[in-house]
Amino acid sequence: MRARWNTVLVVAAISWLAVSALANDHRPAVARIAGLSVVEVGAGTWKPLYRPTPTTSELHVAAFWLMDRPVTNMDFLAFVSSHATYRRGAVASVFADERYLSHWQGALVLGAAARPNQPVTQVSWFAATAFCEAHGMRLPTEAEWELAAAASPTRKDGRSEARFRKAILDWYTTPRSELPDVTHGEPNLYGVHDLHGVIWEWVEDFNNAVVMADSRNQGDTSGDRFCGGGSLLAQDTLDYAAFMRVAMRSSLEASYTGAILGFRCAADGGTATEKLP
Amino acid sequence: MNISKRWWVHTAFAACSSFGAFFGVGYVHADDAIKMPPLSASADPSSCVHHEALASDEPLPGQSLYNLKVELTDQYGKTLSLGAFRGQAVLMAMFYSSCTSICPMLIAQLQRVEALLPEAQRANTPLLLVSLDPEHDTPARLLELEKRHGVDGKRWHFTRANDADVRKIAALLGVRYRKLPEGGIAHSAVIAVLDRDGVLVTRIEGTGGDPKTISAAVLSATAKQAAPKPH
Repeated sequence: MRARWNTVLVVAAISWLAVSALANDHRPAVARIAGLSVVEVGAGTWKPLYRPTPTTSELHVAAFWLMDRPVTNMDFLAFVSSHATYRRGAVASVFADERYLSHWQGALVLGAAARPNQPVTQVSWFAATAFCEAHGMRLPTEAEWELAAAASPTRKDGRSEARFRKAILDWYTTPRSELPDVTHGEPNLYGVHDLHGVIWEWVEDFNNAVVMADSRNQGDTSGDRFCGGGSLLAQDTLDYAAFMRVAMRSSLEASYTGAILGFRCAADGGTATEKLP
Repeated sequence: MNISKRWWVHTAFAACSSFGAFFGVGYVHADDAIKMPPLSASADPSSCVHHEALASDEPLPGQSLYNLKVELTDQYGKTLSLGAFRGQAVLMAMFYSSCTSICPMLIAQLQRVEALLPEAQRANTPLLLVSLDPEHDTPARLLELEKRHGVDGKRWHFTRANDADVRKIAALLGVRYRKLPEGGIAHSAVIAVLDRDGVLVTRIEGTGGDPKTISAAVLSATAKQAAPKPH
């Protein structure tokens, strides 16, 4: 009887070790930067939809910190409260178009159309960049964002999972009258919420769509990608959502603002952080 | 760089700019420029570079690129703000020194534009070029570029800025670029004409267009200077 109890205890101990080892393997590194919660993503490789050069199909992405949710109206209100040059009505028009924060009730009042925990939208690339810089961060690069967004809740690269792809695409076909609050969806493997299904997000190098080195055929800076047989050059023609993101980014200008265009911030892997246990 | 440090730099620079504007300190050319100490938060005006000779103290229009407060370093190692040439029409472009195809064409096109300007206008039209490759484009390499193309360093300003600021300047000019994994930078070629307040009035993509279009834009952007000048 005693021997059997021992066996049970040993088995239980081994199971516990195995389970916690597995859990550790997948438990995201969590930290705070300037009060904003970030998780560690990568390192990894990202295969862009379009090869950056004829000889390159993959890009290495160093480990980095990424906010685990988009920046909210409440976060952005705190920012404009202390950064008057980015308030609606005060911002230089070269940095943000006339629709900047137009859904807020006032320059410093959210009002009924902007709940505190909804992602902030109607913000330009300049305003998003300024917010991140004020928090000691920057916008994620396209490669970083895409590396994070490739992860499903269970895998680093979930793009081959039919269920994951479908969940992403469903967003494009489901009309919504208002944006959900942040962390509305399940986090991915890295612990990042809302990369799909809530908003489009600014990336640092949104203006990186150049066809060739030195781009001498100036009329073609985007035409090669989207006109006619452009899609034949893509590396993964099943990833429709990636096509849409590339097309969206290449249509943007830095002062542009949009009703479902928001952002989150990132930082280099080495950035000093207040790590959480 | 942490936030507080960056904040200091901006504040110090803004303080320098306004000081220069207020006292109408003359533009110091490279040849007689003293070696500048590193930017600090010091209030001593001698630590500032005064490019603000022509700067107006009127508020900038919302569309002015000079709303962007960034610090550039030119081929002589001097620092200047993006708005250093406020009061003059400015030709602006982005390039990098190790670029062997489009950038020489871009510079050649700017030289053609320059040659079309009447002499007095030419002397009064700065060319502001900002490198897309600040990692490699040191002032020494930028100076080499000036020599290689045999352009007038009094008017041609080959400059660098930090990476984040380069991205902002490119965003303002609508220059698209990407660093390539094997080295080099893919980028679109843009020539911009800014009016005396830094508002982008003409933007030409590519290097093959008629340079007359651009020189005419410079003349018309300058014509606005007929407006009464602030003493």
